[in-house]
Amino acid sequence: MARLPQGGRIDRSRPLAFRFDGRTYHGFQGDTLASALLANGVSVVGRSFKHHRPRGVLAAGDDEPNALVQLEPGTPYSEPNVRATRVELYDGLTARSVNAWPSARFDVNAATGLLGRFMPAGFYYKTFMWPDWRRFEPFIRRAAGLGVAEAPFDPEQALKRHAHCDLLVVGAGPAGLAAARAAAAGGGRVILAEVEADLGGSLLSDPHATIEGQPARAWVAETEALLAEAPHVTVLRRTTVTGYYDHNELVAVERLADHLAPAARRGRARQRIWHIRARRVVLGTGAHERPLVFPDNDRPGVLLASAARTYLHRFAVLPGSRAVVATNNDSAYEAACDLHDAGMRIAAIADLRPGGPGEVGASARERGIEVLAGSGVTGVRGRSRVRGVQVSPAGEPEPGRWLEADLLLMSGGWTPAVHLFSQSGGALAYDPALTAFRPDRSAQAETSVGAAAGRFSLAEALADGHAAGGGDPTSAPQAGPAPEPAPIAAAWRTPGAVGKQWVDFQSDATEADVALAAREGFISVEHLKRYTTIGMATDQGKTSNVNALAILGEETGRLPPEVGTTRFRAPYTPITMTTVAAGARGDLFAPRRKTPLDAWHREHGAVMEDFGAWSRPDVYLQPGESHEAAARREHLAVRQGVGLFDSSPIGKIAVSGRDAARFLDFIIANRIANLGVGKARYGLMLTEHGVVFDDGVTFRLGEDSFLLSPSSGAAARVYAWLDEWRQCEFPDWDLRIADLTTAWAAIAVAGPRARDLVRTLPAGFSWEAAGFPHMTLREGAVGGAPLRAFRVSFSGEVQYELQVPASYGLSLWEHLMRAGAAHGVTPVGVEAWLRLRLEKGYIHVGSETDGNTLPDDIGFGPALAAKPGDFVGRLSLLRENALDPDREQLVGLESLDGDKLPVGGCLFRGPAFNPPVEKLGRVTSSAFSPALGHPVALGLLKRGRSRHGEVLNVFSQGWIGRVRVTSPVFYDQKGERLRG
Amino acid sequence: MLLITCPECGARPETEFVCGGETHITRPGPFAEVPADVWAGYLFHQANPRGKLRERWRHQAGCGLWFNLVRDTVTHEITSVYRMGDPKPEIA
Repeated sequence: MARLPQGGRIDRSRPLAFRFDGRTYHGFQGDTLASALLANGVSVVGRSFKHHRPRGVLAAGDDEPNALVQLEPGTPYSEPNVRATRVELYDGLTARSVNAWPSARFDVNAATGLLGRFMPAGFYYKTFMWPDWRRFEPFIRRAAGLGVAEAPFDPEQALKRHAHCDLLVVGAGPAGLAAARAAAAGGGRVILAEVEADLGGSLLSDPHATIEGQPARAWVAETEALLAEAPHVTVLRRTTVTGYYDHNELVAVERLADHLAPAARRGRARQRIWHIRARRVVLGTGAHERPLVFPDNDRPGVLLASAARTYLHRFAVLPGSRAVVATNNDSAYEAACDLHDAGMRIAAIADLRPGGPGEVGASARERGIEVLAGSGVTGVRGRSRVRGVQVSPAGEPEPGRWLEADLLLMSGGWTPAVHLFSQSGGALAYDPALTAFRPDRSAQAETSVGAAAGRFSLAEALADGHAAGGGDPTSAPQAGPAPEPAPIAAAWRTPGAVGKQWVDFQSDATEADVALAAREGFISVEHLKRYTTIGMATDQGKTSNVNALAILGEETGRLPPEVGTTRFRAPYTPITMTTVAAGARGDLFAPRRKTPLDAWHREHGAVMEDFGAWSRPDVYLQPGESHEAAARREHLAVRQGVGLFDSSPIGKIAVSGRDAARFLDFIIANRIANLGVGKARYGLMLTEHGVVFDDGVTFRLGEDSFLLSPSSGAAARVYAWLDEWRQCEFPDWDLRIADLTTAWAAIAVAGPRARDLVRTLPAGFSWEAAGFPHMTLREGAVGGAPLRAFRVSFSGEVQYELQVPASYGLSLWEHLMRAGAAHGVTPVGVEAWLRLRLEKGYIHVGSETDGNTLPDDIGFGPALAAKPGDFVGRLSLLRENALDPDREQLVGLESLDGDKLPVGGCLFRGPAFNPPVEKLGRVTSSAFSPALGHPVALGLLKRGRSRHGEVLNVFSQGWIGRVRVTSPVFYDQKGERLRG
Repeated sequence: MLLITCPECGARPETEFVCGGETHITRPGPFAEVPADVWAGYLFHQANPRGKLRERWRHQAGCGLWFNLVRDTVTHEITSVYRMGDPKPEIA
């Protein structure tokens, strides 16, 4: 029986049933899934990533590489690759091993393991180069995946919280608790984050430790009570600090309901993501025990020595009955003695150090445990469970003796958990006394304490923490006496032994892979990582990093400090995207802008689409009507009658002041200074590189007052652009700039009968063409509201754009719909509106322009060259590249086959498409033209203006069509209709 | 995430700001007299140092102010914040 009748921190009065790989088992409240599996004697919990070797639980915490499970498979709560060591057991829990089918014990793909010698480092790169990696990828992904993301939409919710504190303490082990306790006494705002539900860290697995003359657990309880009472202290349990960012901002994930069955989570947020800005940070993140590297060190039943001790003391689980302990340091002796005292047979302790242990050796010998100094493991028997262990004198060729055992505990020393320290930008130093890297120089306001700083004794942890929390050094909590240690011996692998020696369990890489990588020239630790994938699995190499770089050093004649280590990256342990999003998903992902007429559109059949941040009607569907039919009907209504278009999102930037005219003359590429009051002019805005980044009409409302109408999607950008020039370059000019885009509703009335409709508005000015010609504006009032009317035309017909304060938008629209009923007034969506402009050959910035388009490319070269003064981007229009006669220019394209041309289609000289083909240009906008009765398109074409009349071909995804190059203006080339 | 002290609003998280790149760059002019290489230098040749850099930032999601600061491009340490038009601080 693996579960002891008493002891541990489990609640035997609350038995729980759970299922793993289709079988039902039992555990207790307080178990983790890993401890419950071990208590049930389940040795194989998964299969390895590449070779499908059976694997068992190795560790007891975040460092676990093998025991990954799919939690709650087949339900909406399914989650892949969860470490069983971090799953708190609940009743009814269901889990499945990953990377194994049908189960971890009987895995069909295990045959791959027999081919293992054909899968060395870089196997995929070397093997699947010809003819095309993509052909192999689906097969490889299926064969070598871990868990799967099953649910298309995670039903669970996550919260987000921002917090500020004077001190953030990461880890509630002895060092972290001492820090938090000292800081709490000082009165500052303290946040203490602990990954487990219980505080205490390593003290939970150590019943012998004493602090201040009392059992350490009593000191933990006392500290816990003090922190609970302190007014400015927040203790976050089940909380992993996953990232350490600039200026002392840290991200933590608090698991609010993961320990509850899914049914009990309903209505509760599952996790909360914290963004914590701390004046100071104390990192008490502890250390990870390293595996030893010897043949078949990955067999189920090979555990880290400290993990076995944790399973004993916290979960009352004996993970075997007869153990061999292999070590190169003193810490494993504590595990050996405690397990012996709990009833386990310890066959021997194989200690790689010729001199054997320090003072702890005495306690082992007192118990009659055989200590084999200068010996190491050279072989392991048993495939799905350890059956025997071969122990040999270190470095000697003679084979050692086989010891019967069902458990092999190993300790290769301890690696400080420097992940967060490294993320903070701190520099690491290799410490030969630890055989590990430890924090050296901090880059931020941070202190590493205790084991995280490479100071492993309880006394050091308490002293470090107390000092980092601002405590007086003379009052630091005192640890009980500890045995005098003997130094660790560096031991990175087992030379001369037969069999695979695993370095990284999760990415399934061996010391031979490291050696191969070194032979092939991958001698930078960063290259080693990528070539062998060591450290790139979901555990980020917590157990493998130091062993791998030390072996690389041995292969290349370097010491670990010369090899160096890779930079650690957030997150420390994986986070679900649901938690990262924390509610910012679906409709809440980003704010959506609605026009003042939004409700009317929705009530009248509008198909709403997102255009940038705006939600706008694409078409208004009538019963039984298709999208295309609706767009054509709306299009024709504007050409033949009158249409109403909600243009409220159009930019409205007011610029005023004595220097407004010269400012805009500089910002806008076209001439503005000589624009008359009451008049409008179209213009381009360029970057300093000369590239067109927006276009729009500028209105002169008064001598010193202008209104700009940038594109809907660019309004915010244009405002920011103007304001940057005002603040940074012209701070002394008399200028005021305001973005009024959302303050005004805008309604375009367009079509040959538009005037009939606007005449119904008694605005105080004449609507007739003679008094109110094209490209002018009038200001008045209607129904008590101020009204601005602009004669501009994006549609190519007579068009009035009416602007009223946003709150009057709906009543104006409804008036126009009522008054227009006799004229067949038709609401028009964005689709038809863009087709109307396409027929007119008007560019749409972002369609007919890209990040290279210069004014001359779209026909504005002569106009700008004639402008007298400087403007933004002007000198860039004289660059060699700008004057290249081969540049792409705006053209019209007529389809000769009657097909609608594909946007993005490649223009080339045909007839056949035999690569390599010279790309002459591309289709940028395309639609059926109801007015012309055939499809039309705009495009950018090399030397396009000199090619009118030429016949070319278009290629798109295997389709080829013929086009004739034309003027971009397909409709009313003289512009008579819009002036009417 | 950087913590940036807006001269108007005080310390705010980086997400409220946009970076406008190197500051104290003088636009060449008058335009008719600017040689091509000077214009090219203005467009493309920036200091891009490994170390302290004077930059301009805008408090985009706040007061909208453009201001200058000195940031170390390696450590992200911000050693000085000053307004547009203030004298250029010396950097080591």
